[in-house]
Amino acid sequence: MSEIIEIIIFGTLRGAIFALAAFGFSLVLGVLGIVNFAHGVFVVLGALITWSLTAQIGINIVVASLIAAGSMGVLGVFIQKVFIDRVFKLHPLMILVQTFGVAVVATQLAELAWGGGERSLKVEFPGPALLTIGDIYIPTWDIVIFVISLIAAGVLVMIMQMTPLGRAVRACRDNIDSASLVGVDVGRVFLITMGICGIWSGLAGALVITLKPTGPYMHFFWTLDAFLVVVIGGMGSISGALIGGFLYGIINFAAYYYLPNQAPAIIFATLIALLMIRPQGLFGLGTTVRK
Amino acid sequence: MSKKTMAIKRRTFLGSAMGAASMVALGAPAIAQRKTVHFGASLPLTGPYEKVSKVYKDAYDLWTQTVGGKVSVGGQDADVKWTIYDDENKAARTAELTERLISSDKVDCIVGTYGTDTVLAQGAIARKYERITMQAGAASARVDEQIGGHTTFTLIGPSRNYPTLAIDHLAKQNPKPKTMAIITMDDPVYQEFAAGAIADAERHGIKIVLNEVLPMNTQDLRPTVLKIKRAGDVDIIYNTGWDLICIKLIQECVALDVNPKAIVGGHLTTNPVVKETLKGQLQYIYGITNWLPQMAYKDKYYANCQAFADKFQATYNYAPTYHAAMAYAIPYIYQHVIADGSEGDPLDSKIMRKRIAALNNLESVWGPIKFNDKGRILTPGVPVLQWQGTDPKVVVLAPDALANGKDLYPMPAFNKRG
Amino acid sequence: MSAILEVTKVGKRFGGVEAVRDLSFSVAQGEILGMIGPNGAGKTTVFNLISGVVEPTNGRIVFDGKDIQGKRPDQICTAGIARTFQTSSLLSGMSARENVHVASLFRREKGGRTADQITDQALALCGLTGIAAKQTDQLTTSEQKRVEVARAYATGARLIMTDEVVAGLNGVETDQILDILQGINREGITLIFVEHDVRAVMRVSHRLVVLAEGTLLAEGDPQVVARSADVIRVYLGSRYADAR
Repeated sequence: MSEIIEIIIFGTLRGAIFALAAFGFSLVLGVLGIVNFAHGVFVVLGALITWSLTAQIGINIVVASLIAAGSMGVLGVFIQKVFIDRVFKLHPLMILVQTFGVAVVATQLAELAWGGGERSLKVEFPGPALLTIGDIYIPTWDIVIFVISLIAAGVLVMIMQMTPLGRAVRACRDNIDSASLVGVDVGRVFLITMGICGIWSGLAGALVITLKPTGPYMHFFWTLDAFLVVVIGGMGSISGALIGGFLYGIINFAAYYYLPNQAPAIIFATLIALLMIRPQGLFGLGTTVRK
Repeated sequence: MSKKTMAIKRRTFLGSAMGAASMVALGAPAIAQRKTVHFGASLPLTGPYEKVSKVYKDAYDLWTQTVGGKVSVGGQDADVKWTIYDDENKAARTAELTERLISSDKVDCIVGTYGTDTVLAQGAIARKYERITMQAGAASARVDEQIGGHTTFTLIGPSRNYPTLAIDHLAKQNPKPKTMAIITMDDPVYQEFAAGAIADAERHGIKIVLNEVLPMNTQDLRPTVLKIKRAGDVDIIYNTGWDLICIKLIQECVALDVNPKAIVGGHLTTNPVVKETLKGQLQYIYGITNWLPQMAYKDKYYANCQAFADKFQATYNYAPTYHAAMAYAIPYIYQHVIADGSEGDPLDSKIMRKRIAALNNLESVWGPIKFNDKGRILTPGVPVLQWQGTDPKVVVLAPDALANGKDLYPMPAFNKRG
Repeated sequence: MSAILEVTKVGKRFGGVEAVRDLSFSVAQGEILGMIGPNGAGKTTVFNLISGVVEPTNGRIVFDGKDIQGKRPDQICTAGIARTFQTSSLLSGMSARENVHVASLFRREKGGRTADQITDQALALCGLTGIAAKQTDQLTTSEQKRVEVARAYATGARLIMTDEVVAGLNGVETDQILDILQGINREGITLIFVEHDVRAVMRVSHRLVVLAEGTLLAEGDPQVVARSADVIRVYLGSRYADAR
């Protein structure tokens, strides 16, 4: 019994990071209606910039994480303005190809800057390294990261619900034409959405590099993970992505625990089944059809 | 196809004829016409082996730089030329590219790709054209069985024997380990490592409590370490996987406070990323390695392995792994065997095959080179090392001839270290 | 009265189809212009052209002295033109109030009021105060139409175009929404009123334009235009027109 509890706990802890990395993906899919294949680049670059600022320059990790997240926000805006915006009116497939290209180029550049290998950061956290619940050991740092992820999700939900900006983003997520006809500058909302996506995904990267080695080539895993989280949770909704992240974390952990060698197949089979039963995701706001 | 075989034969014939002619005419070594020696290979430059492929490519390149882009073919200087393709770690692609290297690019010396299936594919095509290859990228016994000796020479020891010295060594420790958990990557060559480790452990009466087979793209080792933790007392954790798997394994053992008597990090603990990432956590971790810069091997150009390692580091801006020394040795061996033109065209496959098979402990930075009749290098086993000290350094523990320190065993618990 | 909107020789082709052809009309500041025409006459296209959803193939559209053809919908909206939709275009996943609030956020002139105050006023004007918290998918058709109107009003528009705003409503609901529109008009806001329900059009319109096959068929006083033979012909068929 405690085996299952452990799997659920560890899966949920990992799931928070998956969720944090997927919020932006979900928003961009919901608002712009595009699958951004360069999404994982935000996570990986956020991680590597945090590493450079902390390990090479000696900046405090909290500040470094915020700078990294912020610069990913700028990168998001840049990618939107320079690339996606220009082909947006073409076929959606063109955006897939284009963002894939952006991912390849960004990865090559990152490899020039950081090399092809992995980097990781060790954070010295005051207090005990492990917390115990009954006979279950939980690394304290994992809990810290879990809490940071939840706070980041909460901030995003508040921005979306309470601010004019959030309303405008939600309006566009819902119906771009209608939003535009009540005065919402859709182009600007797209820019902001990509900016938000960059910031939150970059923050995820900053946390990831304290958990495991991260290298430029890993961007695609993160794109895929984000995609799967959104498939489970449903696009566009932050709480959906959060719960999707937790579920994905648990499915992932359980699969690698019980049948590691078949894990990828099990994970994808679960997702295919989910898509058949509920194509809009468990908490989706609507159908996954491009508006 | 038969036309191509004809062409090769004709070239061989002409080569020997001209050799004979010039010998008669001038009394000098043959093959004056040859201006270049063409080396060719495919490597999995993209895909999961991207990083290690780069080491091979750089090592081939370092050899070219070391010889100044010129080698002697039967006593005559010739320019070195390379053609390297990306086989994407796909066997079919490798076969196609090898076909191209032989028929259109007309390479003289085929060097190895990396990975068992691709090496086998390369060997199958080379065999069709009665050519030879030399490879350092597949330790699998399947290479010996299918293409070893007649087509392919292999510079890496058999994977079956990788763990043997390490497990023999650990079995001698006090208290004697009784149980072992093994992490196996789901790929034939890693399966062979694991099979070897299991057989060796069982020979010493060490019980295998868990053999966890992981997909090649595994991202998270926590499920695995949790399973080890729940498996009860585990004295040895043996990782057959690569550096990143070793890092994640140790990070998760720290995270979940899993403390066996010994952790064997695998054959790549000396890759710099491992120490950079784990820092003090690497202390007490065992590893195995075919090659270290500390080792006392040498060749014509480098007085010891350290000199080779320094040159590599200075040229490519990263420290060489054992792959670098091994890959560098391939063109070096070819260079040695083609220098002599006394038996006809030294680039003729038959002559090269005969000479490579006859090598008797040729000195190289990879160690003495001598092959068995399956074309497999003869090695005494893979040396065992342990990382020691708070700023961990490598100490070699076995074999005795190379040993420069004593074990720290059993490993103290992660959370009870200063 | 001066013209707030002038449409001059505007045309729109979709592929080979000429949806609107050489259309010219103007709307005076403060008037309610009724626009009628049979299905396919191009009324919705005219709205789309004015609101920037589609760009005219040729011609000029001048609002408040400035050319607006080719501008984006949000720019035209902030310039002062809003519209409602034939089928509800409300933002789902939001309450009625949030729908109106979004519209108030981007208006140029707030007159010293906050977006919240504007929202509340618009909701009150349209009789929605009591149901402001309802999610859009819970609203009745009549409520949806009124949220559309409130939303258009909240943008701060000086010209509001309503598209089939009474379609699907019963008599009481129709009267209610026409009263609201007339109230909005009394504040000096110009209206273009597209409707199938000729009775409703006759009731509120100061002036009437009739479109047929993408071009202007008739224009003028509602009572006069409605009786013209041409109009009756396109609406009811030539038999009725000739019989008169």
